[in-house]
Amino acid sequence: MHNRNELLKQLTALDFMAVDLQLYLDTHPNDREALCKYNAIVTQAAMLRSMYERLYGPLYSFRSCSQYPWQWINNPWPWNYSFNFSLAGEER
Amino acid sequence: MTEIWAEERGMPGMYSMHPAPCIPQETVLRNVRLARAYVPFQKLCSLYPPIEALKRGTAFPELYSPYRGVDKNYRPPRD
Repeated sequence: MHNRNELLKQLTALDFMAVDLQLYLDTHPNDREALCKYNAIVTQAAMLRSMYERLYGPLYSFRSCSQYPWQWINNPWPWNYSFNFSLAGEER
Repeated sequence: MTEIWAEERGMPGMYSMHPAPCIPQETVLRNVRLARAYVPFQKLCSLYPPIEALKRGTAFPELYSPYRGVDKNYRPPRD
């Protein structure tokens, strides 16, 4: 249903939301609504991350489980150009 | 997947002309001091959907404010 790029894009977007809400929460620690949204986003991101890693291999050299044999040494690595999705033509 | 973000409301970046409902208009400052900066305290309003946030560099519509300055490398064509 998902292709790799689409899944990676959704995951990156959710992680970005989590970081931006984290910055907000640093100055608004008692904002229950924001915290609720943050928790929902982190939960969704964790779900997508485990789905991605199950299908396409580890996103981290540690913290990620790996199938046998050890998957991390497979190209491309996350910092390689070809690993990443493109938002080309979609920027505002 | 529950939709926990709303679509953009108001016109972020245009708030000086049209105050967006999401930006507190704190126009009264008591005991104002010299040489101090005052910044309105952000209130949670709507959030962009995640992909839109990634494209715009912020999750908060009221903080979306792209730079639309002149392109310094632009040279008008000579005829």
